[in-house]
Formats: sequence, structure tokens, C-alpha cells
Amino acid sequence: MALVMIAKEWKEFYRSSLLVITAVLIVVSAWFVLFQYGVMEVPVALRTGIVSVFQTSVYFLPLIATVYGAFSMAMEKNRRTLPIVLARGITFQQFVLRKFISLFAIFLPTIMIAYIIAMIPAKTVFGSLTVKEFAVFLFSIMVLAAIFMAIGLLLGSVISEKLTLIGLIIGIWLTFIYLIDLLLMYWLPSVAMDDVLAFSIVYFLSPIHAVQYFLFVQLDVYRLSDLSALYEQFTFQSPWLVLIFNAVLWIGLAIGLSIYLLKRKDVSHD
Amino acid sequence: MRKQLAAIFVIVGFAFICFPRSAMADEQASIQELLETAEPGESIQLENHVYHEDVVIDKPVTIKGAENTVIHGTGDGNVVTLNHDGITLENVTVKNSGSILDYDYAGIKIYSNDNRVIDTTIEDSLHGIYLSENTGNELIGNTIIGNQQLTQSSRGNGIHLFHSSDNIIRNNTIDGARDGVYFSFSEDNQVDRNRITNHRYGLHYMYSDDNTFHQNEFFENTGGAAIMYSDNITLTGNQFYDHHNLQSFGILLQTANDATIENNQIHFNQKGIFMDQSNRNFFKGNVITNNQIGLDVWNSSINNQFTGNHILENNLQYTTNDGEDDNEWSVQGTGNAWSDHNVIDLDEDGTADNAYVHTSAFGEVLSEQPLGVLFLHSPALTIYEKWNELIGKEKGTIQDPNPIHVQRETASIASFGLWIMVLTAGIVGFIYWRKKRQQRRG
Repeated sequence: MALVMIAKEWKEFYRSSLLVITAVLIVVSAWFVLFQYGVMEVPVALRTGIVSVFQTSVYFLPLIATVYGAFSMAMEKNRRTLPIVLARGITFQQFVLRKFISLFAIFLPTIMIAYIIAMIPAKTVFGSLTVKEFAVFLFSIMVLAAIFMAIGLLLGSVISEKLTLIGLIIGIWLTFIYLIDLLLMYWLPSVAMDDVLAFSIVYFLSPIHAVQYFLFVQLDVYRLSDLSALYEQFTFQSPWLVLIFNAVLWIGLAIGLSIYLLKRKDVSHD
Repeated sequence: MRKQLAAIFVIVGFAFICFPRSAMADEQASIQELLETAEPGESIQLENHVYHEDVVIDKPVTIKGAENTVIHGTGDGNVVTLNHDGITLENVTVKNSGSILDYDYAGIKIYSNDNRVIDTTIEDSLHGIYLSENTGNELIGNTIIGNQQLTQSSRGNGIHLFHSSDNIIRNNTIDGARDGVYFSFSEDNQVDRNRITNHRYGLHYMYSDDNTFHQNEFFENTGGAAIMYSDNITLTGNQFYDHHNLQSFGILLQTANDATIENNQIHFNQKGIFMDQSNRNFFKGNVITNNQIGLDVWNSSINNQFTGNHILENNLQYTTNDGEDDNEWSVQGTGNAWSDHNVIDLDEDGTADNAYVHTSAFGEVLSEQPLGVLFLHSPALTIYEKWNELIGKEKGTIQDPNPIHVQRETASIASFGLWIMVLTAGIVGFIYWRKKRQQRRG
């Protein structure tokens, strides 16, 4: 059954052109970064390039992943395939989980291959290439995409109307990219030593912050040794724990809520 | 066959019992023994051999290693100690000094003058080369690798100068020590073309005046060059890059005055240049690009001059802590190139007709709250700055009356968002057009 769902997702993904948009955006944006570094007459380390590619990806990858998750779920309702699947004895839990896994199985290899293609010219730009650094980057990107895909799934479960869905997706995207940071930036001046822990928890609730923190520590951009007391308190948990906690929280919350809301609306009797 | 093998084992075993390792090594004279018989001015050629000893050289000789000569110290002190003027040590690998920081043990410790240490490799030692209260030494082409078995704060420095003057430190590669080159009370030294990476500070510099740093490469350290409590330093043609940590910098000037900082490349650092209580320094022709913060000049630093610098595509071009800026941003009619300045140059003389004025609201937040650095990567930073500019809350104003044209060769991460949106619109448009065409055909 899971394989059938994956095959179905693949067909829909392929037909929707989202595949092309995603792959082209990844490759072109990464090449754009590489090109800019390539023309500089100064040495550039791979991790510097990876950080820039990540920062660029943050603009569009969460958006695409959310769109993909949301529309895929909304279509199940609009085309009435969901009631049919449920009529075959599959529970809501099974459906949502299989849906998430099948989306994951299609979207993630696509972006992985796109990033690998994107990094082909990297050899000519950077002094040396480290497989570990690139692998960490890919892993981080995948976690980020998975979280936003789950959020998209939730949005698609709640809303079926196309325009409302687009509006909500853009709202969510703006919130995570801009609004949360702006709020934190205005909170920042009043953060005393006693508040650092609370500030840290709120900061790391954002999937973008959690994934970025994990990536930067793994790339040695942030070093956690010899930190001041302030930073010691801020980075109170290991990057792995922060990442896992954030991913489990958002994915778990989104999938759990999707199941709950679908059940409550009782889509099987639509 | 079995009998022959058994005979070989018996003979080899007998040899090991009768001639233990130390006795066999005795056939090879130790370096100390060679030194005892050497005349001043003599050249001693070492063999492809691992010498297990600490060596004290107290006469003016030349010691040359072969391709694989290793001096492996006892681990209880300095491996090689130079106690006489005019010694040359060349082409040896030095390993295993003592590791007690209080005693400042080193791979090569130099107490005398006018010595030359050339093409050596120093590993597994506390300090690499330690110059103590001396003058006129030359350290050229050495490779120093910090002891990776110790934590960074427990390691020594790559090259350590203490009350040491008029030395030449050239073409050395220093990797993974505590600080790359450490200066303390050392003057008139020339430091050229060294590659210094993976330390706490690439250059750590205290109470040392009149030194020159030329064409060195500092990269991937926690901090590039920390220059403190020193005057009349000259930094020309150096590269400071990839210092990304939360509190990192390319160049830090703390109570450093009258320095000349010219034609350096400072890029991909957390802060390009950070200055506190540093006055009358002269910055010319430096390229300060793609740092999180280009220049962080605290108001305790005054009468500094900036001319002909290219300050481009830093997430924040300039920040300060508070108060009025009292530095000169143009010297003899030549200001600096700023990537966030829309140059109007009607007379096409290369100097803009409109002044560059910079303000930053987030700079003030940063000076009060160090956690602000977490948002230097944030897409929201530009919005925050623009919004505060609109409501007139920005602070930390500087004015460059004669900004010059930008020579672009930098990567602008901030403009990617716009590019990507344009690109997305283009792709979506293309797909829409393709579908429409297919529908028409269908």
C-alpha cells in the first residue's frame, strides 16, 4: 500500500511541475552563489559557500515544501480520493502517516539530487571539497524540508479552498522567515541574564533557527568551546538534541493535528 | 623448511636478548655527543634517524637533518634548546616536548641571538618555537602543528615571542596551536608570508610596538589578529578570512594606536574589524567584504582615518556601541567605497558628489546584547533596519563626505531573495505558458 501511495505521489508530483520548479530553483540559486564566489579573487572555503547556499535555500525551500505538503493533502480531499482510501479500511492515522512518508520519499530525493547537481561546479570554486560538510548540509536541508512538508500537510488537512490555502501558506512562510525574527529582535534589548534560557527556548522553537544552529555547529561556524557565560546559557542543549526535539515537535504536532482535524471533520463521510 | 624457520627464530630471538634496542641505538651517536666533539662553526649532518633525546646547543654550529631526521624529546622539557648565538638548525622534525604550560616548554626554545631555524617541522609539542629575551633570529619555512591531544586552551602557541626583537618570521605554516603567533613585549619584528590557521587567535599581540606584518594569511581561527596595548604596528597585504564564530573577528584593535593598516583583504568574518580604545590608526585600501559586520568601531576609538577602503556587502556595514563618531572617513578628499551607497558622480571624477551617511539601529542592540549576532544571518535584519530608519530610531551615524566608486567582486547574499523571487516568477510563468500551449494543441 505504501509503495502504491509513493507511486501515486510521484505521478502527481511529476505532473504538477513542482518537481521542475524545485530542482531548477535549487540548481540555479546554488550556481548563482557559486558564480559570485568564483569571480572573487580571494580564497573561499567550502563551508562559507555552504552557509550561503543554505541562507539562499531558506528563502524558498520551506515555501515549496509547505506548498507541496498542503496541496497534496488538499487534493486528496477535493478529488474525493481520501474517502475512497478510508473506505478500504485504512485509518486516518495510517493515511496521514503514509501520506507523509510518501511525500518524504518523493520530495527529498529530488532536492538531494538537485543539490548534488548544483554543487558540481563547487570543485572549481572552493579550495577543497569535504564530503562530510556537504553531507551535513544535505541532512540539514532534508530535516528543514520534512518539517515544512508536515506543516503543509496540516494546512492541507484544515483547508480545501485554493486561495485560502495559498494565503495561509504565504502567511506561515512570512511568519517563519521574517515575523518570528522581528519579534525576537525587538525582545532582544530587554533580555537579561535570567531570561536567556527562555529566549533560547523560544529561539530554537523556530525550525529555521534549530536547523541553522545544527548546521553551523557541525560546520564549525559556531564553536561551542570557550563560550562566555551568556552563550553557555543560550546554547544549553547540544545541536543534535535541539534539532531532534524541534523536528519531532513540529512533525509530530503537525501530523497529530492533521489526524485529529480530519477525524473531527469526518472526511470519510463527505 | 621447518628446521630452517626454527633456526631463524632462535637466532633473531638470541639477538634481541643480547642486543636490546637501547644498546643498538648506541651505535648511532646522539646529537648531544656529536655537539660535544664539534668545533664552533662546524656543520653537523644528522642521519635519517629518530634521535630520542632533548638537545641543548651551546656553541655556534649548523645542524642539518636528512630527509627523515626526527628529534624525539623525552617529554619532560624543551626538545631543542638554543643557548648560544649564531646557531643554524635546518630540516629536522622535532617532537614531544613537555606539556606543562607554567614552564613554557617548546619544541625549539631559543634563548640566544642571531640564530636561524629553517625548514623544520614541529609536532606534539607545547609551544612550537619560543623566542625568549633575544634578538635577530630568523624563523623561515617551518611547519608547526599544535598538539591535538591537548584541548586548545591547554596547548602552547605556534611561535611565541617574549621580549624578543628584530626577528624575521617568514614563510612558516602554523596549524592548530592555541595562538598562531604570540607577541609579548617584542619590538621591531618582521612577520611575512606566513599561513596561520585553526587557532584561538591567529595573531595574539600584547605590549609590542613597531612590528610589521606583510602578506600573511590568517584563516579559520576563532579570531584573526588580536592586537592589544601596542603602538605603531604595520599590517599590509595580509588576508584575514573565514573567522565565523559568534565572537570572531578578522582584526581586533584593543588599545592599539598609530597602526598603519593598508591593502589587507578582510572577508567572511563575523566582524571584519573591531576597534575599542584605539586611536589615530590609518586604514587605507583595505577590502572589507562579506563579513557579518564590516566595521565595529566603538566610540572610545577616535581620530582614526579611513581612506580608499572598499567596504562591501557586509550584512551590517558599520556598527558602534553608542555616542558620536569622531573618526575621519575621508582623507585628502578621498573617502571609501560603500556597496550600500547610490553614487552620483556627475563630473565623473571617481568620487561621488553625494556623501555617504550610514546609520544602524541594530548596531546599538548588538552593542548592548551580544546575542544579537544570532540575527546577522536573518532575512529580517534588512526589514528591521529599514523600519527603524523610517521611524527615525536609528543611531550610530557616520558620514563619508567623499565616497568613491565600488569595484564589485563580492557575493551579495542579501539580494538573493529578490533574485529568487524573480526566478520563481519566471519559472511559474514558463510552466503556465507551456500548459496553455499544450491545452490549445490538445
